[in-house]
Amino acid sequence: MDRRVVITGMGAITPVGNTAPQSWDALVKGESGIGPITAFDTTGFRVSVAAEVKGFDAAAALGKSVALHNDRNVQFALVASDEAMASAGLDAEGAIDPERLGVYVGSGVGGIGTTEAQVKRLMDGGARKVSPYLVPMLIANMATGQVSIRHNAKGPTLPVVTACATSTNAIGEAFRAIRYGYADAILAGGTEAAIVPVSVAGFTNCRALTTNPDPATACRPFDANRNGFVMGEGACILVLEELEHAKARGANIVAEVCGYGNTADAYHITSPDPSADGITRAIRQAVDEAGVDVEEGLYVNAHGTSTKLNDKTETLGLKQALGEKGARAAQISSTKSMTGHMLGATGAVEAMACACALRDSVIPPTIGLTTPDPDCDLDYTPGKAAKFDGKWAISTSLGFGGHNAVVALRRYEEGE
Amino acid sequence: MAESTFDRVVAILKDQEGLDDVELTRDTNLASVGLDSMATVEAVMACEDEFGIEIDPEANPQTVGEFVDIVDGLLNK
Repeated sequence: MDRRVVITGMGAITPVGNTAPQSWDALVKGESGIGPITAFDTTGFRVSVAAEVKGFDAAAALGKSVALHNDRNVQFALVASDEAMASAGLDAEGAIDPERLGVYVGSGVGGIGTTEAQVKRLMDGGARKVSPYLVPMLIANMATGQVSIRHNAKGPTLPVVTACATSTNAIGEAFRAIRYGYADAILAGGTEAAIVPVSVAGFTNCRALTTNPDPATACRPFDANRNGFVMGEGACILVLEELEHAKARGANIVAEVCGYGNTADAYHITSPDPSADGITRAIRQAVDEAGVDVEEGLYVNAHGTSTKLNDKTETLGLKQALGEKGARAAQISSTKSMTGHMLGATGAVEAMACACALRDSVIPPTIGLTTPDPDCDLDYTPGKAAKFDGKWAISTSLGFGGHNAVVALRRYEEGE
Repeated sequence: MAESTFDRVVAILKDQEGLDDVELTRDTNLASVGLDSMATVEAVMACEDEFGIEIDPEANPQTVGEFVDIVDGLLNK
């Protein structure tokens, strides 16, 4: 029997909202989460804007002890996992066999804020001053570890680390694991908390971030004047569940996950391959597995980072994978124009946007896109949300290291 | 003197480990209130800063009282 996989729960804490519904509402309204960096003093930094999570009190949300002993990225993941479990109804006693519940929550850089603070303690006070919690707080798999402990999830775990493609890979791998019978439900997504001095400096110096200090124009994917991404932070975790398992317990189904592509550029550590070969093949894999028919309507939540190279390469990849006609028919947007680039968390937020777009028949816009670029000549839904009555959605992600990941979703009709 | 060290150690344990709502006495077993070996090391480090002492890195107090006695022993040296 062919096992189908659906999304039955969502949890998110993002620069535009501290829950999944708040985040989705803000995206549809075109609200930006980008502003001046408040996490640290940016004197001496060429970058001064980011998309920060607002009003997050870890001690209030999780208790003081948990807040003290978990890096901010894990705190985000725990909060998002609670919301995901509750919205799926899987927090109820006996809703799922713990050994059939998995956790695939990744992070791009893990506990880099903890690492930075503890390196300072080492330099200032010597080896004796380094926290015993350094290692559990910095390792990038600990979000998955802590989420599995918190929700007694004893099935498969797989904390993916593929930079900016992390949580798209996590969702894709979770889809496959459920489809092929290794679990009945998996908490899949990503988390990131890297708006700290050392990583902002590093991302600046590798010329990935925009130095534009104006929050209103800093991130403008596909615009001719784009010149780098804006760093975001937060977490998003989706509950992927086998369809019959979900139906048997009367779960609310948001959308179906039905395809996954995963390829490497084998080209360069940070630049996308200008031929777009890798992303083209990843899109093809996902749409072929899902059986996407562009004529039935397709929403593409693009990676759309607002870097010169990404947006141009991705546009080319969409044309090569879908055909010129298919790419022109697709409705595309980059929600990073509002959330910034949440690195390891970004793919999950964008898959959530795909699922909600299919459920609510609306596409969130690409804000800040005002000056067309001849190299980016598709329909990117500029400025404001658009109606969408299509059946299909894909989310594309490209990560440092040359990782390309794509997931394909389908509108779920009641009674299927 | 001993009383004051006890109060200061308890304050550190509560603050550092998020045990605000837990009653701590000399006989309280550290593991029983959720302080594992990592948490104990962290509390030892905080006490070193608070009292300006160096505690043996291998010290492994099992109760709050043993913890206080280690600190007092070093303070009275």
